[in-house]
Amino acid sequence: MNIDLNRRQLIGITLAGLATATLAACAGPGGGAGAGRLGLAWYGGDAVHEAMKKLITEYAKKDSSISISEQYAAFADYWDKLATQTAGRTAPDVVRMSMSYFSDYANRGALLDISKYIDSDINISDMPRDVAESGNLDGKYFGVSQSSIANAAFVDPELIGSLGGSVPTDDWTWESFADWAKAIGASGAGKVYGSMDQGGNFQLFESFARDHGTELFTANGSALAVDVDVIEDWWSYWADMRTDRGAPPASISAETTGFDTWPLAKGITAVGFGWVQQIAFLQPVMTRQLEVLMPPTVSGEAKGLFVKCLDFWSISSNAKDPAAAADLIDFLINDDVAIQTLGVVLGVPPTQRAIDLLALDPTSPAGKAAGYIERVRDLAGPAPAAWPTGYNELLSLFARQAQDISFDKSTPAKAAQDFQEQSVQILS
Amino acid sequence: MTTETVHTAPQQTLIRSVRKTMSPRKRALRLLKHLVIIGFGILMIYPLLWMVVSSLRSEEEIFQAPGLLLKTLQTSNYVDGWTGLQHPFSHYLINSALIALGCIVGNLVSCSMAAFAFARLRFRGKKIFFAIMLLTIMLPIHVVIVPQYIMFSQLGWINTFWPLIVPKLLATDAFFVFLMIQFIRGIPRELDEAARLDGCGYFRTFWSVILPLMKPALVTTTIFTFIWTWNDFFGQLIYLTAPEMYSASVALRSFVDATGSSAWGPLFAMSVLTLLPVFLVFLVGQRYLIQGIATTGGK
Amino acid sequence: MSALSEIRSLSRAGRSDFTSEANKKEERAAYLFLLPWLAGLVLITAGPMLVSLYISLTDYNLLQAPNWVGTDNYTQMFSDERLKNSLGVTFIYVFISVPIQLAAALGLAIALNYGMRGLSFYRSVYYLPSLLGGSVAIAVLWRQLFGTSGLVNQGLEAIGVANPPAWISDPSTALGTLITLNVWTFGAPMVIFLAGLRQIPTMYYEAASVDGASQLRQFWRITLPLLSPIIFFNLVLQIIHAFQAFTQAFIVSGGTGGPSDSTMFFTLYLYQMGFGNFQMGYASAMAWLLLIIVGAFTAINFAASRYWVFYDD
Repeated sequence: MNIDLNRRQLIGITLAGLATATLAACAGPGGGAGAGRLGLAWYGGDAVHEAMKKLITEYAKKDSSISISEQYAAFADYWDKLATQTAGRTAPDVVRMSMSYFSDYANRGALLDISKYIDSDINISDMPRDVAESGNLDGKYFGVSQSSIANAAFVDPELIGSLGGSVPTDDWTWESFADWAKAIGASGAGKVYGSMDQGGNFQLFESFARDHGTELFTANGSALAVDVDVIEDWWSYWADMRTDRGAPPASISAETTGFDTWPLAKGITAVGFGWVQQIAFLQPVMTRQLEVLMPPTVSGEAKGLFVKCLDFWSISSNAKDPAAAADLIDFLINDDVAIQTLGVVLGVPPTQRAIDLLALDPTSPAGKAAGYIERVRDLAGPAPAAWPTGYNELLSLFARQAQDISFDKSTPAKAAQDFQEQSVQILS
Repeated sequence: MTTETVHTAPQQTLIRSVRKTMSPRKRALRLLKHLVIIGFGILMIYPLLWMVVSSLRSEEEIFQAPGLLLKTLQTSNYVDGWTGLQHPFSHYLINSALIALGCIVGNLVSCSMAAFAFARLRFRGKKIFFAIMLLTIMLPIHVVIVPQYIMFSQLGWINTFWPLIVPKLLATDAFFVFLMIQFIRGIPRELDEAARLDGCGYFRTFWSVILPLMKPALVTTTIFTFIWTWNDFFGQLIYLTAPEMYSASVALRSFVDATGSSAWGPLFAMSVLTLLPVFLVFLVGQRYLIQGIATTGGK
Repeated sequence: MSALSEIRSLSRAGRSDFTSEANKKEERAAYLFLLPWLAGLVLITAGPMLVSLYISLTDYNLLQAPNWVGTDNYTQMFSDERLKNSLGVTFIYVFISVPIQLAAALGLAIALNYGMRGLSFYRSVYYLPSLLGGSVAIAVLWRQLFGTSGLVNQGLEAIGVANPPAWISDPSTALGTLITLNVWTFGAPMVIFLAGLRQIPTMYYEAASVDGASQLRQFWRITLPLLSPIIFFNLVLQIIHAFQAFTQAFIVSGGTGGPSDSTMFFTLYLYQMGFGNFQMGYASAMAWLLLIIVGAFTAINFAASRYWVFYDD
């Protein structure tokens, strides 16, 4: 009798398994949200959590009919959790969305088309066009920009001075940059090198590619637009930099993980590159002051450079009350108190109004970042379209190919070819 | 049948009697043995000392000083860490303790029952069931967590401790079932057969003969369940959504973010605090382990 | 409760003679004892496992409904160079770290059990690294020990080694540092060995001492055979765990498995595919490949155990 029962149970297992197998069909309860409740999720470190939680208290004062349940985690953990929640149809109503995953989520139906709330509920008219349109995918809005970013060079003038070098200016080209970096490396006597190795920096490479006359991706995002020779040039350039101490050897660059491990932060290089707001994360782990410059260009003109948005506020497609979610987003972006509470923890704010309101000290890291955005806005070229689905995979592939070259496991020519071939598969 | 608590193994007495007549060469050998073991010990204890020292350092120093010398005493890390998150850190420690407690009870009861059946009782399908049990721990968690999440969310268990505790109540931790099986199989069968002859049923045999004799395995299970649950991260991250439900390991990870600002000082301070209960449980647990009952056998 | 008393009375009735009626009672008791486990299998474990098998035959990306693709994911694995590399990395890791770790754990457990003074102190100290195992702090520590200018290299330079290796950030040595890290956390198997040693009935040693057997002989004739089920347990489980090694590589490499994929363990690659690249179908297929590999190793282990594992029952 026991045996029979077990057999029945075994059949039960199979059926239960197949039932749950219709994964997307089953709709779970919305992310802890019902009438009057909104789920809000973000990623970040300590400072972000603190500011966001103050903001929730502020919102309660403003609209007491809505109670917000928040969720937060560090960047990497956040994405594991959000993907799982999306699979279970329990994603929080309002989510912080990174540009790297934006198309992945939007194109796969995980985000709500919020076009009808734009302008009516969510005011984006204060944002520069490039920043506002970053959340637009094929004519539909899936996200509202929460920051503006641009590629930047971080320079350590004190270290450069101690080596007898001259501090460069915004008008450097890749050619003059290489000479300069190698000179720093020569006087650095094997302890200091000119620049951090950017061979694997796909985001800086986008500016380099645009300098060569094409966008990185085709208009519909289904393929690379950049020529394979340009990729090879980029990697050859950095290989040459490593050879002549313009950049540190591969094993030193490979130690880079968080900001505290950047060779720039450790005084091993005089220059590093990143999104401009990262100066706010770098400066606290360093004793010397950093300055912000435009990255080198091919011709002296910064047309490859672009200003756009890095992160968005988006509404997940299973949100029960999108209108309330839209109101919350408008508050996060436009409310004076919200702007003051957030400051620059999410990056340089997307609107000039917010930047003015914050009245940042121009010598503070955040002030330098905001000043940089203002400075380059008119010099930079038009912003590229949103990064395509699979961008994140390409990002790590690019870094890995570059690392393989630096460890002599590949050559610039072969790696460029490989990258081109694999990108076809990833982007299709 | 008699059992007896043995504090000193006979080997120890043996060694002690030998020591009086030890030659200088043997003494030197013993000294060397101690030196090696102490050297090993330093290698082992270094990370903990380093963590404690780091928790008292300023942020820059954490990354620049691999040694153990303390220049400044930054006790503010502890204050910042304790109060830095939404709730005082004790809140997260209590959550972790509740989860761990549930898991320990679950594992002790359910795994020992299953292990007794596998080790001592004959039934059809035993080999197949045993193989299935081992198979269940061979799939990486990353591919089963999504279906599991969907299942638990259908039950409305998201943001509760149930998805973390209920599986343990149902002996899904095959590691401990297998561990206990091996220990039970080490207990001479005559002992439970004798009990059976005395008229004990299966349950009585399990309760009053097997369980007391497998105390080392039960203590081991308690220690490991506590430590592993306490340190576990992925499941707790996925299932606990509201910050007031966060466990210590999830709360700890929210101090640092590779893409943004991080609070390393508070992270180290709270890591040290989080380790304290684990270390205490281990200290207490291992005392039981050494007092573990060694049978003198006989009937 | 009534069920229990029923078993009790039934077994009492059948104790004198082992008839088939008694067999049935024993079987019934067995299923009762197994009930929690069976319920767990049916309700919690089996469903998600079968679903993952189903997912492995689809293009599931976590965000959209899965589409059936048959065995595409499985055939795709054959031409995936990174997968082959990750298998290689994992095999090296398993075959080097498991034997060393077990040998260290067994050796120390025996040394500690044989009346070292300050026993509990040493035992606790040796367990310390295992407590830290998955902590984020370990990543920082490991960089400071094995970084290009870390403590290890400072030591090497002090004794005159020029250009010491970059350890953690050199593809040829990075895996070695992870193996070291794993060996260093031998506390768990050590405690299990110790528990096993404590469980050996002292009467065996007493009898042997009376017979005048030397300590070495006692070790070979009593300790090792009686400990063999525990050694076997540790061997089987450590192999299973090592094949699934994830946390340490994830933490130390910052999730990349670098430099240059040199610490890209199989499960790390699987995780990147599933969660980073939204290819849960492929990741699930990888998981089932791993299950087959680990299952085969475990089966071999069980087959071989007949020749060296001694059970008292």
